[in-house]
Amino acid sequence: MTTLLDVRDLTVHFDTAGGRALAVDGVSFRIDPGETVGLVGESGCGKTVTALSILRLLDGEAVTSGASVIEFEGINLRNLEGEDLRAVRGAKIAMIFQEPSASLNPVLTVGLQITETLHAHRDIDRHAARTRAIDLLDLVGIPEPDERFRAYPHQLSGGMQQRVMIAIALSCEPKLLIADEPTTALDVTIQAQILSLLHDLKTELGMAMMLITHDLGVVAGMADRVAVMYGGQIVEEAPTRQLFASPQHPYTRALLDAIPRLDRVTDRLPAIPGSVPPATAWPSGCRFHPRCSKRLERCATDAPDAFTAGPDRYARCWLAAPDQAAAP
Amino acid sequence: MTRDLITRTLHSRRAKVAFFVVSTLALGALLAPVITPHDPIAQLDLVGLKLAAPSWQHWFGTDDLSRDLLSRIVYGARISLAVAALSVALSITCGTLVGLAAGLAGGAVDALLMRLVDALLAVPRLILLVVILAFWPQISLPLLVLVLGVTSWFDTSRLVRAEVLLVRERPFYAAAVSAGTSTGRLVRNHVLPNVAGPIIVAATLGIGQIILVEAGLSFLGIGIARPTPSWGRMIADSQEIMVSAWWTAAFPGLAIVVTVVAFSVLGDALRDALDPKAS
Repeated sequence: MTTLLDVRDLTVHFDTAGGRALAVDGVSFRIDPGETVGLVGESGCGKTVTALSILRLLDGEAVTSGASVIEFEGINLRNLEGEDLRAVRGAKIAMIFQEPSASLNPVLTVGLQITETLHAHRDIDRHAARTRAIDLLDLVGIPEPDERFRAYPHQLSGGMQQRVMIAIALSCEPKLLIADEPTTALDVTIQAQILSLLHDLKTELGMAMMLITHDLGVVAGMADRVAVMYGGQIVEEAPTRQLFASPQHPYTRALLDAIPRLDRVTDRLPAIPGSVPPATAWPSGCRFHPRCSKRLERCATDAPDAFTAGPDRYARCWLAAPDQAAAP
Repeated sequence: MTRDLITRTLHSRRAKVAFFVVSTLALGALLAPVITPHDPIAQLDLVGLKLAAPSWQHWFGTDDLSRDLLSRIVYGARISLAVAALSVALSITCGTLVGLAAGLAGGAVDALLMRLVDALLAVPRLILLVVILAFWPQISLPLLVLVLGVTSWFDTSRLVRAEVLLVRERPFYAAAVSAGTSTGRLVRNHVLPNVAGPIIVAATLGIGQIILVEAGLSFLGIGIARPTPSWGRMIADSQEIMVSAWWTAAFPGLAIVVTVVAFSVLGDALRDALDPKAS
């Protein structure tokens, strides 16, 4: 099976008044056709910047390093411009965003926003576009799609709005769907509905999905593999089951411990001390060491490599180093 | 959406009155040949009706050439409103195009266009107009519209640029870009509808301003050529006689004030109605 998306050494920085912010630093990962990969981490760890750089949606202030490669179906998206880039956006790689209410244009009907994407990529007439849009609304579980076609976004609930976003994203049958926190702005019950909808549609249409979230519970049920980000780097990547069963990186472990569980009685939920440092001043050595409960002396000075810990699995931590037994 | 906007705009009594005044003016200007009691240019009776005070025959009196003032003011509304509407249409078009170009292109194009606008804004408008119009011995309506239009889009371009930048920051714009929407569709479907509100407000307020400028130019003698009735020119012509015949200056002046105030009230009401924070 050939790789669908292959991101290698993605590095993005912003020059801010407070100095250079290294938002994404040497991120590499791949997504195979039909696969779901979860990208997990706290706010400010670089998840969204990573997602936006794939479709080249970052604004002018973001600088992507020349060595970064974003290969989709064998083509480096970083070399595409103008029409070629537009032909990928929405048609081959589609994206849905965190806030459905803000991601829909308030002055246009839902129908127009779906047909707009269809017209952008397919040579179809108005009538065919309308029929297809109504089919899509039906597909994403919106009742009375004929009526909703003429509705304005503010006439729909948050869950319905996100379904519309999904309908737009799926309109041209993309190979890859990037979902950036698709359920964060929604109620818990609606979250579950949207996630199961995404899961069903993904299976039905055979597309791959990159699921970005801060919620490990979301990836547990959805993802085949998970990459955990911290401080602009992927600190651990593993097949989902293995990640949950035996996390290698103390950060992953700490994230898992911070999930409330019914089978474990505690007075206090363990939290990770401190907060993510600003991207303008990552700590030396391992970026997680100031907050790490298992830090070694070398962690403050030497940045750990990504140590392989099995097939499809690595951790950026000295504890995972093969010579750990022999280490000082 | 549109009906809702109209309801909210005309919510206050001020706005209703302003809307009534503006509609009456527009209707009056349109129907001028039908509703005016006299020919605005005809000298009715140079001996008997010279500077006649307001009466049932001549509601607003007559001027020193025995022309009926009411008829002249109604015909003057034609000129004022036509000049204002056409110049504003031209200036809004220019301003929107420049603002869109600056806001969408960004970078050097943006900087260049905005510095140009800064430079143009630094020149007082009346002086700029006087200098430009001084090149023509006779000023026709198309010329006046053209000159007023191309000298009043500077503010609008800044406004549109700022609105474009705001729209570009909104998530739905990124969402549309991420879906591969073409630049033309982005402008037509996402940028323009969302900047239309401020543009409409600017246009409404602009009409009042242009009427004042046109009256000012006519007063200075560089407006539309005589004998076409124009409010500013009527006031200018009455300078020497207004002490003895107050009506020759008062009624054209009143017409200007009422029109400008009505448009400005209507513009304010539109702005309030379009302000999402207000509702």
